[in-house]
Amino acid sequence: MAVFDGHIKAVRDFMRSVPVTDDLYQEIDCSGTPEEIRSSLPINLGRGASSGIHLRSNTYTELGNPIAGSCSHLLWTNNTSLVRDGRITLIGPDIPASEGESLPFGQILMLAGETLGANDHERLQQAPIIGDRIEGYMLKSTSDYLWARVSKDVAARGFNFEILGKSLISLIKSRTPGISAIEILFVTSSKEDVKELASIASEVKGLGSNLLKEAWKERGFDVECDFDCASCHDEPVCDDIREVIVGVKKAAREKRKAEDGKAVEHPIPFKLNA
Amino acid sequence: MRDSRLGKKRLIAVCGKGGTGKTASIALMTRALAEHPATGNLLLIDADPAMGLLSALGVQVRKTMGEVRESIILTSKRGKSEDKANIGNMLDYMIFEALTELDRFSVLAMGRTETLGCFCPVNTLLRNAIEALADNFDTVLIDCEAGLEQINRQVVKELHTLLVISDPSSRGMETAAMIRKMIIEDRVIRCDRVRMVFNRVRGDEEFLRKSAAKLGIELAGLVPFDENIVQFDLVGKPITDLPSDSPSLESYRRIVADCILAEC
Repeated sequence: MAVFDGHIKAVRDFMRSVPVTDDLYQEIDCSGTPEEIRSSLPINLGRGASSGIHLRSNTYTELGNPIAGSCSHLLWTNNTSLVRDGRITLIGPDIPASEGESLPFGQILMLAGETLGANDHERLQQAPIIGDRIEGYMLKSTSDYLWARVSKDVAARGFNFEILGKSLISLIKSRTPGISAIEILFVTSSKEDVKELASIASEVKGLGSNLLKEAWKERGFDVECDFDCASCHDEPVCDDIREVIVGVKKAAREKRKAEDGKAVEHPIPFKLNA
Repeated sequence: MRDSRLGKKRLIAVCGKGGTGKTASIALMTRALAEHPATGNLLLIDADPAMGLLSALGVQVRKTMGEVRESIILTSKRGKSEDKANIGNMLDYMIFEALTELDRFSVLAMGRTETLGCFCPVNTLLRNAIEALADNFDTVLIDCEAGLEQINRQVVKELHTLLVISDPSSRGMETAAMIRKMIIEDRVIRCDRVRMVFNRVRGDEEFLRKSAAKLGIELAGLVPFDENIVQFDLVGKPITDLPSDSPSLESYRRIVADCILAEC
């Protein structure tokens, strides 16, 4: 599926044309299974590895705060030749050289898998939501923006974009089946560079949104409804029916599991709240 | 000793009748807490919609929680399906955006909300998020209106200490009595202890001690009238910049050490 192939090529053009000196352009290659990559890291990965918030007083480097600027996009393809598996590219200063700095931050994830198709788009979009799973790396994100802080503690252990990239590759590959290659671009060179990257990727959101709409339509949901539910007298009816739909789906899931031989000891019957 | 029910952080709210010097009191307490090594990470929540505290502190905020609430309601009403699905992530991002971090303390301003309506689930969502944020701090100081229902709905469900600010006027004391009733009898918010501070005291100390005893509220301190505050207010200078030997600041240093840091 070639929905984002043009954008992957545009990102490559950006990488070639961005005006930075050689010392601000790094390419790192990593290989191995997600487990091998994980075991090579000096930090912990997994749920709760970086709980809470990192206050400025405990922050070594801040990335992408709303004033510095940020962008985040995920591009995927089933053409595996377009993505260089394990390649991490950094354009701009690295974390160890940026103590006390607040850097602009662009992050583009390029994923490839031969079997990937439109129906995978929704779950692939969830892949970079790594929340609290990287020790010492606090991440607050929306669908377009990333705001991250690296703690002084992990900076003292050498945390840099290579470690961040490897962490993302390990986490995404182990959590998201069907991906055979991951390439990551980080940009910290300037707000203007991040803006340019954001403009390349701005079309991605619209295309992704269309893929999601199609996927939901196939499942029988109308996502084009512009009606304001808050002003509708029939809202309680729709709320009840939504509960019914959730219940029906849950019951169907339990039934499927039981039929698959995965014993469900106490299937929960759905009921409509009074 | 800090209460395990509330976790390891100290939660202190300050309230009182308008015009009794509450804003200046909180500004001075903020400075006294920020100077004290036992305070740890300090979060100040301005839950008074008037937001006068921010200018007393000389702080500008980028976003208020009222604006966060507004964004959530508008996204829910008019947003696209994928935006609605992302409200959880958006909330986390926007609350962090609303947190203003300064060198010695952080500030979260509740602000006001434009959209009419109760939206209880939105308030609950925000309150839970604020409580989760507050968990990252050792000491949380909340500036609230005289009515305490609003902090219960929007900020926190329980407190270690409620500090009631009054001046020597009978109206200030009437409000203090009303606040005590809201805590002790109406149980508007769970609170371990209530303490009282009289501001702008000019020699009537014995009378004020007896008044506090009559109200049934333990006295945390008497703060003398301070000409420096009047002068700073007049020219709009942050109260936190008062000279270090200002009598009001010295009083609040004692109140902070004896009533907040020692008791909580």
